[in-house]
Amino acid sequence: MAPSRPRIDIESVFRLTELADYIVPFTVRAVAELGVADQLVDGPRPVTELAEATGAHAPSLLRALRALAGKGIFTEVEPEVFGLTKLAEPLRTDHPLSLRDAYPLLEPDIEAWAHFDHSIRTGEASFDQVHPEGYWPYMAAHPHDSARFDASQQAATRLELRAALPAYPWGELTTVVDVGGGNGAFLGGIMARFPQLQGTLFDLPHVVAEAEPVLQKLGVAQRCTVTGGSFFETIPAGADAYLLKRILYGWDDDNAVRLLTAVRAAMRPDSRLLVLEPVVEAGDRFDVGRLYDLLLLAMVGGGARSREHIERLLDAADLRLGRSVPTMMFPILEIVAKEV
Amino acid sequence: MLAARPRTDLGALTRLTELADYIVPLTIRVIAQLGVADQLVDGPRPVTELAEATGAHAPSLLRALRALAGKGIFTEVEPEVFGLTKLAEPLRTDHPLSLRDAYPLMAADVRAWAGLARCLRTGEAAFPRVHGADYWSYLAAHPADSLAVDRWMSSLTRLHLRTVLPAWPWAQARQLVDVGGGDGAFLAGLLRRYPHLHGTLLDLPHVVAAAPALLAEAGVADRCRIVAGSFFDPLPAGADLYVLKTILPGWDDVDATAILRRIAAAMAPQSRLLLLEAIIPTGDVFDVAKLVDLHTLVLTGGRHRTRDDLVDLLAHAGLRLDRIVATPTLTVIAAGPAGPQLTSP
Repeated sequence: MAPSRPRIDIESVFRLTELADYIVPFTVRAVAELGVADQLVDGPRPVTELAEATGAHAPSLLRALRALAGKGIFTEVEPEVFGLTKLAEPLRTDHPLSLRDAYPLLEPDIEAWAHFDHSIRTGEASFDQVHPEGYWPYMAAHPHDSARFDASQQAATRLELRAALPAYPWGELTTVVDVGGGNGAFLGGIMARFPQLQGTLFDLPHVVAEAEPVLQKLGVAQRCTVTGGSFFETIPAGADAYLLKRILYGWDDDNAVRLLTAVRAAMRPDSRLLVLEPVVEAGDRFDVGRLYDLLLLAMVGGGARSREHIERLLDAADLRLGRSVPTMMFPILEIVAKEV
Repeated sequence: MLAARPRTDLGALTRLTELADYIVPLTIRVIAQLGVADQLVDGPRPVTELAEATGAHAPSLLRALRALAGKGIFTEVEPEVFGLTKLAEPLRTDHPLSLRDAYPLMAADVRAWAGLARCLRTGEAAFPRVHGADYWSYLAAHPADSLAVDRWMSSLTRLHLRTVLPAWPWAQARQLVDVGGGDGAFLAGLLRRYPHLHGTLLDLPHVVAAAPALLAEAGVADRCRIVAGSFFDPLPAGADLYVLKTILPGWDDVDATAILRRIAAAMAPQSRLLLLEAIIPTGDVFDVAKLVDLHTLVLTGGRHRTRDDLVDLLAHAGLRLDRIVATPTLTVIAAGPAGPQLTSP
């Protein structure tokens, strides 16, 4: 076959230029971090006031806001005076699905992304090129970065809840254990909508120590048991459903099978296991799971699995995939015990 | 005024999420750097072959290509087999407007960008704080990075030659000095197109080192003089045209004025200065100039300017705006000597 001649399509050149740009993404994040949108809820204000209120350098903030206004995030209503737009609203802290903390400009993350070519060449985490101790030990030693990381996870959890609530018949369940459920924001969010649910939040003791105020605030603390422990050991037994939300994909195959085996041991014959995480599929359909997959590759060297790969792991743990329920974000894999 | 209640608009959330994502942009850059598109000009190939040909780790390359295919860049024609798309075509090296080198993943740049929030708080460039050296000194000390910047500039230059050449009557000039002309790619393109023109290329010694080969390859070496020097020192005098292509944005007003004064001093009464640079428009209109402006803030602490800013700057250097010609990329700003100054009594 003769090589194809390249075609000049100026629209494609411009679209590719837009997709390759990291200036807008980084600027959205820095402006979110400064909290500019919160300063505009009462109406447009001059950039000098915004700079004073957010601790910014006014001429530089002006340049950043003008760049974002060109993409519809904020609007310059008169020279050097900016107001909110539809695209700026989600950057408000009081927005129900606030994205203000969802997009931190985390220096250690960005430093790692600067070397992302290493991951594609080797399959190893780029993060380790910059901080050889690895992602989680780095975060454990840097409380400020770690707090911003946690805040970004909470913002992601709000979106995952929004996606998962309408997608699954949670009303059919009475007892649910969230395995590796963190501070309980996801489990608590589901229980708040489904008053019949009795929940158990299960994670490492120092993690679940943060849960009480979260569950109180959601008004579900009375119905939720908090249990500290390791999910490679004993998981609370006999619930209708077990949740594993974005846990499995962080572990290699051997550990994933260990974890699934521990869940299987806790399940009744008719219990379900619900796995919520990115699942890799062939084809060109965009889903945000593909970006999470690369994020994991760059930061920790792990990654999402294909459905077939997950099914092999399930089989090794005496489980099988019942069905896959699509959501706005990641699918919910409904898993049951293998028939004997 | 009561605080407005926030509205939940899922379309806006999705669009904002897309605009805040840096994973796709950085992945495009790695894939461009690996040269994957060049491996697909004969048709779709399995990812294992692509990985072998480009020195990549196949399972990781697969994940990267799938993420890009979700945005229309490459297509997975059957499982783990990828082909070109309209959006992937400009990543080919043989594309007339190839963007392959336009998007380097410059680790030093990206690491500086990690400091953007502090930059917005202080107004100071992030690059020197992160790397302990200003941008230009860093490049002089890091040849691989310097080469990548040169390649990036060359790919921009191709685009600029295509768009800027029709915007000025170059045929009327005979002698031209490209001040800060880099490796000479722009000047070479100009001289090729106008066989009567004679050029002088001026830039720092480590920058013009690449020029002789480039000018020879373009067949214009006999019409081009190379001067290794700084535009903060006296410049070759009396040419018809002085070109400053995307130079001023790298410098603050004090340094920019100093450069312009050197040019004003070298100009004859009939000489013209052509500034070729992006001008920041007013209002919410999108313009790549606004992005390049932030890049300049982060890397060098310099800035792009509005039309009025440039008029002021020229006046401070004893120059007067002649006319402005817009192009699809850079704007051409022509200026001449302001003439004898009136002295106040």
